[in-house]
Amino acid sequence: MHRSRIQFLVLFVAIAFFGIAARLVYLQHFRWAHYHVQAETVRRSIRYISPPRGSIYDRAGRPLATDVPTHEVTYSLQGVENARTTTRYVARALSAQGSLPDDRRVGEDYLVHRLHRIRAAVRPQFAVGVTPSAQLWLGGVAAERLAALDAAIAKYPDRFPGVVVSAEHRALFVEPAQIFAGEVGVLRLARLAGVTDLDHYYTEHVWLPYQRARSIENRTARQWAFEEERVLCKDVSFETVVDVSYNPDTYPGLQIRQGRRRTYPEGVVVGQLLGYQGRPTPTHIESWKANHQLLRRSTDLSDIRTFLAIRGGSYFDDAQVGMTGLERRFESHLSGTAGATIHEVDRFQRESGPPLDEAPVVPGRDLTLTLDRDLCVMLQQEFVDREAVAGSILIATPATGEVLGWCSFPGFDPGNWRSQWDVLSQQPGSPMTSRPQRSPIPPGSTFKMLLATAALQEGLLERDETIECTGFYDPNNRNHLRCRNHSRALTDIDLETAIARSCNTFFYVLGGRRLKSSGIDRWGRMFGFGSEPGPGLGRGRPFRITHAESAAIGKGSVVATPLQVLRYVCTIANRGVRPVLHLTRDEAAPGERLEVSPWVWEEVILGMEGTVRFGSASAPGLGLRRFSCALKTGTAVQGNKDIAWLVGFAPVDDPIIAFTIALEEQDLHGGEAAGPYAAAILEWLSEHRQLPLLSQEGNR
Amino acid sequence: MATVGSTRTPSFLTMALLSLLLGIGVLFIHSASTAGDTTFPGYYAKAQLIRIAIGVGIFLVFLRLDYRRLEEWATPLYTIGVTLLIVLLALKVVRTGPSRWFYLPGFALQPAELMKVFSVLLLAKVMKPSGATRHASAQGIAPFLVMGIPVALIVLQPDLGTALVLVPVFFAMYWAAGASTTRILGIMGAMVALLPIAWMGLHPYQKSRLSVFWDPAGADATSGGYQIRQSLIAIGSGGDTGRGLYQGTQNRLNYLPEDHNDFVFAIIGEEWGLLGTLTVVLLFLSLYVSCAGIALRTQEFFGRLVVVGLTTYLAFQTLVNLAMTMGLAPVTGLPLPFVSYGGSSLLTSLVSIAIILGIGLRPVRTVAPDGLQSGTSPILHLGRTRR
Repeated sequence: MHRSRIQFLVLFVAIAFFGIAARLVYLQHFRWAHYHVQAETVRRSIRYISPPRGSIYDRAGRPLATDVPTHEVTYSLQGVENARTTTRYVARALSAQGSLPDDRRVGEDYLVHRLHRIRAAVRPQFAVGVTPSAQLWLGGVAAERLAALDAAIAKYPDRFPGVVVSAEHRALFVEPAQIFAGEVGVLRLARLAGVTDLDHYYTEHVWLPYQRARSIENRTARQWAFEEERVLCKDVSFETVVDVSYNPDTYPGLQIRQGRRRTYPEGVVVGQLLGYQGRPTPTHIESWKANHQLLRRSTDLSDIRTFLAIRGGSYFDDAQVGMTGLERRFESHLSGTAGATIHEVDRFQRESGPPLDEAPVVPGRDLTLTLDRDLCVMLQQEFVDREAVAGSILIATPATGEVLGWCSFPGFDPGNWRSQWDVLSQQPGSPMTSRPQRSPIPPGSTFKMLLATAALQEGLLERDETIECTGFYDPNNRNHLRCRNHSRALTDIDLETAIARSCNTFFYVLGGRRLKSSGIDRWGRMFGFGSEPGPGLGRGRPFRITHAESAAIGKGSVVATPLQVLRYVCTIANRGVRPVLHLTRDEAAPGERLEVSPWVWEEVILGMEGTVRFGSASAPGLGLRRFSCALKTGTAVQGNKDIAWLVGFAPVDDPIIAFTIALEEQDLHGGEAAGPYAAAILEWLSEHRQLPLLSQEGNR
Repeated sequence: MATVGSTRTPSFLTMALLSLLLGIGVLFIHSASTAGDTTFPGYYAKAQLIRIAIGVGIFLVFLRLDYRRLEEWATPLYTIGVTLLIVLLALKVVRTGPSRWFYLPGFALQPAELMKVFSVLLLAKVMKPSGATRHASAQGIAPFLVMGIPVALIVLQPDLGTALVLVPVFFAMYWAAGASTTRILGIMGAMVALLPIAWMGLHPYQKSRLSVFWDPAGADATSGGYQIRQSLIAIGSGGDTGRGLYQGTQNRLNYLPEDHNDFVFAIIGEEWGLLGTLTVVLLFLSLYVSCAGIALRTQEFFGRLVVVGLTTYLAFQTLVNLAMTMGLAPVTGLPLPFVSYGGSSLLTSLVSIAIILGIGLRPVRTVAPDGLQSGTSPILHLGRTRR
């Protein structure tokens, strides 16, 4: 025998071992960083936390929209539909130890197929709350395989819920109540929540999502679909939280998670202004994608620094975003910044231990409005009490432009409008529309002060000049451009009377013969018609005068939103300073002074005072004479009904408030219809906000 | 100076190497199976300790046994082994599923493992020259039959990995017995040429295991590619000094399936780093070199050939396992001798090493063709120290 050959063999083996050693040095010394990063990546899993949304408060800190913490019951398909996992373990134990199954008869797919048939057979029983007995899963199994499975069950009982081995029958049975325990738990919860059609509930929440998840082709996406935390039940009761938390065995696979619900304590009051939240639309998603703002919960970041770098201003694809109103306008202010924790996870993505790293969530900032909640509630109540069909009331501080009161009637409750959609969609007066911003309407006679100011300032009207009113502008065409606002006995009209009694002919003359379209157009723009009265308050329609006579009395081509009219009234109250209306103090901006002589304002305001003293809002029954106020009524035609206007400010000398009232679908004239509203508002403000609005007569 | 035929104790070094490997095995089986959150020994380590205790008993029996008795028993043992394999195959036909084990009370016997030892014994016997011709037996058909029968039966089980171990064992013994090098190269060439035919006969899962070796990225989590990837991450992330015992994340968080079994070396790499892996590699190499030393010292043909065969079997299995955990060889299911968790494999390894050491303890007086007795000629052993 050759000694040298043995020595050669030794050499050969030694070289092979040195090769192994060299490979180890390469892997562990030179490639350490590479594999270290891989190991760190694979074991870390990120859990995203949605930020709580900021609240919206009124000027005194009373809540208008808040996030209320709630409890949600969540589940993952993997946790609830665990039959597949169990099946995998059974298949593995039944095949030769540790190796993959070669035999189709005990293959995983076959077992799953059998299990689905068992489920189909027992589901009707489950649906009516009956727990079926053990079912045959697999028959004719070799004894030593059953023994191997039995040993596996003894070693890891948790992996085999409901699996029963019968050596006597050489068969495998399954307890449906255990293997489908997730299903039973879901149904139990549904029953607790008062659901009647349990079968439908399960199909809807678990079975269909499960089928959809199974059919996903992409492996990662499919895995995510099974692991994703889904909400089963929102806003669950205290009893349910306790029951689920303390009886995990009764509700396998279900978890309690902190959720959030947006509540609007005042409901329908300023509902349209606040707006509502909703799931992002495809447009949202596309725009976030384009701006690199989209975070997907399935994105598996292993490094909190990466997350910190990208989270600012980003959204999750399942986020709630402001869809309308202030919720939408102040989205970035309210939404906050998402947080995340990085956990160590095992091969089955189960978290283990405390978080390794975390980026705390940054809650959304609160928003304080200039509105007075109680005033808004009172305005809403006025509409309801007086059985109005539709309309809007706005109240502002003329000096600053702060909007104090806001009511758009009818409205909707942003907290639960979806559930009331059937009613809302049938309701007259389009409750979803925010009238002050989005409903341009003819301002009617309230527009007349603009012509008066313009004519006086441009010298087209003398201070004490009178214009004859015979009831017609054009004697040759008596059916057109009439004036029926005052008695026939009154023929020579001065400016004070013209405003107080709202004489049409006076203003037809000013508009049609003196200012003309171009003049009205220019002065209209100066007063802010056709432009935004304040940030986010709507532009209305473009301002363009085509027919001077009808424009002169606020009809025809003149349309304006109630907010534009409010700014116009504030400008008169300020004697020429056109304010920037705003809803939050951050948006306050200095007003703009118009080039108008002070005496002009006093002439115009004198006329507005006359409205209360002897004019169109002077009826004692209206109760307006008690207040020091300058008003102007207006009536505009809208279809076969009228819009009743009443605008003004109080007190006359140093105005604290300015307001506009626009009532739609009216049969009465401006003063008659809107007067009681104005009286109630002034009354309320003097009483509840102690504003000095009473006149000397009223004080007496 | 030992006298010829006397019984000594095996060298301290060999026993120390063996004990260290067994100890490291138990330690990492515990680490791999419990991640340090249960107290030692836990389920798996305890089972392994029991097996080691049984194995050491059998080890001592074989150490005491005069190996010349094995030569007499080689044929009956081989016959029993082949019979067991045939019975398994018959059971496979009946049960229609892979069958590799006999389930005895408290123990699962894997005849293929025992067959490795039995085949080596009979091979050594049939290769032993008879009469005056020194190399005649090595040239006959008998060795091929002795090796071919168990290989075929094991492949049919199917257990490709175990069957593959027997091939290098055969060649090492055949070559060491004196077969001509050109002849061996010719046979090897013929076998390589037949590989495509063998590929067609493989089971799909075997094919997938082999193909993930060529294309690890294309494999999914359940096949060997996932294991190799996780194993590489475990070893690589260990670095120079490792993450510390029980601290390996790949291990603790269960990313590496079968980590107490075939992939235990990956856990050693992760938790003890390069320092630990090189130590283990060095322990194995030293053990096998000392075995080779026994082969070189043994003058008697049968004994020497048995040592060559068994050492080759252990060394090859070690190398294949290590190569597998490092992504250099496909996932074959071959455990790491002395270290991996497992019953039949541990037993076979201990029996093999006991036979090798037993042979080392008994330098047998042989009559060489030149008439001189082995161990007596000052000429033959010139330049060799024998204390």
